[in-house]
Amino acid sequence: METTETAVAPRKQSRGRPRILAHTGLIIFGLLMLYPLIWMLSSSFKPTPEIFSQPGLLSENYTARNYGEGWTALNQPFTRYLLNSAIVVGGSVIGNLVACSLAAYAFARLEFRFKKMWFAIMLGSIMLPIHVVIVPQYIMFSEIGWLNTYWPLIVPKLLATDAFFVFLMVQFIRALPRELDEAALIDGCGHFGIFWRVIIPLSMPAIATTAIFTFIWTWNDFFQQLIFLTDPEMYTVPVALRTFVDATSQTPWGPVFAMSIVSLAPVFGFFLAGQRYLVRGIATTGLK
Amino acid sequence: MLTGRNNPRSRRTRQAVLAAAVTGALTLTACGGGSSAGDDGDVALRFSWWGSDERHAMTQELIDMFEEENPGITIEGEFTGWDDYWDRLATNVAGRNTPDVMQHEARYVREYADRGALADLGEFLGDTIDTDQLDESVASAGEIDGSTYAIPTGINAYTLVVDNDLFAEAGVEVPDDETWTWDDLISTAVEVSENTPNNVFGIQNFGFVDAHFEVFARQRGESMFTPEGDLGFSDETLAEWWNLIVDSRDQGAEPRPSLTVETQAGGIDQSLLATNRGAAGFWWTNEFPTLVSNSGHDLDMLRFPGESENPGMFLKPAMFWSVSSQSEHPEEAAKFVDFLLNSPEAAELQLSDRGLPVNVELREQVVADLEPADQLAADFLEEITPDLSEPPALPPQGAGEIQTIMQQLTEQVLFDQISVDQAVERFKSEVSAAVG
Repeated sequence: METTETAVAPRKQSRGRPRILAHTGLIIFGLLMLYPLIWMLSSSFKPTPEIFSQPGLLSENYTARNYGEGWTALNQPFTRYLLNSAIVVGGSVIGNLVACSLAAYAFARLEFRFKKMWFAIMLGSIMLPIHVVIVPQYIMFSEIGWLNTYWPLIVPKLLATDAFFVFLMVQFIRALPRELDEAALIDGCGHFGIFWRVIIPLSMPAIATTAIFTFIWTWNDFFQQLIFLTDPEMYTVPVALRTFVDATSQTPWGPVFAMSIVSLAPVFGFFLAGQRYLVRGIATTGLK
Repeated sequence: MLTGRNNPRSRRTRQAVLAAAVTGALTLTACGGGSSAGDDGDVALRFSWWGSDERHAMTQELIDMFEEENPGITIEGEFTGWDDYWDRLATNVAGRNTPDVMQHEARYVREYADRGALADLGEFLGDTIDTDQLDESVASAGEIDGSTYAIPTGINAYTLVVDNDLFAEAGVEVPDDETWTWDDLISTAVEVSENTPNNVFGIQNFGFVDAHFEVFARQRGESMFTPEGDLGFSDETLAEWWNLIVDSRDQGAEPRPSLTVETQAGGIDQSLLATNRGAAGFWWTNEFPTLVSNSGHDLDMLRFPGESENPGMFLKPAMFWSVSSQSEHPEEAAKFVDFLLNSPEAAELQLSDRGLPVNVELREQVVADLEPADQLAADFLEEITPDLSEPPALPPQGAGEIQTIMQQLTEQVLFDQISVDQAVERFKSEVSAAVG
């Protein structure tokens, strides 16, 4: 007993010190990386003229006025923009989850003609920059009469156009043992049965990853929303935020920062809630 | 007016999108027009502008006012910031869905007009659009080959803003702007730098805005572009200009290059003048009030150095109004443009937000209502107007890229990555390529 104790104690100590060092190092590094965010948070509570003339974190004139002003500064209350963004994001998340998982199941489990070619084409579409497709898309949606509606932002998601997520789920489903499918087949399941009862419950990490990324990317997406929504009542959060900022005149930085903080909150919350799935999802799909 | 912080990539993209517009327009002959009539015969117009929140709110009031005066016409406003505005407009034009009335800018008018996106307003001039009171020196600035594609919203001028308080602190006298030379500018700025704390400088670097070079070239009887759209300056003039900037850096009139670039990227709110770190800087007259409110100091405007022999300063149309060539209701659109230009109530609301009104009568009326800083700017404009040169012709297609090219080259010159002569060569070839 004695020997083991003495043997263990110094080892613990010698491990303890580097750990404290490592943690302090990491905390300092973390704060450094967070500094811009902290600065924005502090600036959002400062009067606008003070933001750049006294760029430090502390101020004697902290005030919450920016939040009230920013909320009502544009031609709609900010609640409206948050709601609009929520509609687009909600539709996109649902669309991506349904469509991408179905497409992924097909690529991972079904046999059909030219499968490899289709798969390659789908992957190739990841490389198409938005600027290439935006004009044809705009013309198409303008002819259907969908400009100034949320359809151009949501309907494409229902067609599994986010190839990245299809790929992510294909990789995940391929790693699931086929024996489970076969067992379900013997029990009388068709493809939808296998998909719904076997694949989906086992793919939760990949599905969570898709949901979280779709949420963050759609929430932060700006260009498409700028192009397809021109009616100020339809603006989403990023588009509304940009109407504050104009290179040719004075920008009310206080309200801008305040509303930026507000618009970060949902992303932050969603990420916090889903973070553990996210890490697991990426680890188990082998994507790095 | 423009601090031009647009990155080169988005510029390129914008051009590519606009180029695609032509192809799109050619292949798609009859897709939906810009506007549509309402159910009860009402005319609906789309009106699009850029700006920040204050302009958005003010313009919405203008719209309400016009709708009240003109029952049967409704106007939908679409607005965003400067950069995004051009991305969206390019896509709109490509999709044959151009807003009926647009706020425009000198560097883009020709580009859109040449591609057939803008209506010739000629038939409405003197009829629907009253031109009697419009300032003759700028009223025709939106003309291309005899067709009027755009009408100026207002005027401003590029000028030197000085901080009297910092000059007093340094014990340096503000020079007489009627007689001073470019060398005087540098030596005065050096004096201020030397007699103030280390973090205060004489002047902010002036090599980032093409309008500055335009004035410099005009003082030598040259210009950025000839009316035909060719390069209108000599190598010597451009080299002389960049050498002036190198001098300013070497003698300490301005901050070290790293700080200069940092300040430049920050825009007007973070400029040396606005943050009390510099005693002078070149700005548009309509930016003067912003500088005053940010700095809290006693600021003043001066003429450019070297104006005495051959004036190079000019009145610039701050922005333009344009009407879409695809508008289904050009008559009503023209009526709205007339309202924006000539209505006393509209002028009262807009004040100098889109430049001092081009309508001379309204300009006088408006000046009395202006804030003190705006009033100073207006008085200054009035004072210098008799001595000014003609406004430049509309620059050729692709001119939107000049500012970016100039910024990049000035940066490289400042950091000694290329010589002034190399910069001159590259500027000429890159600008020719951009407008070619």
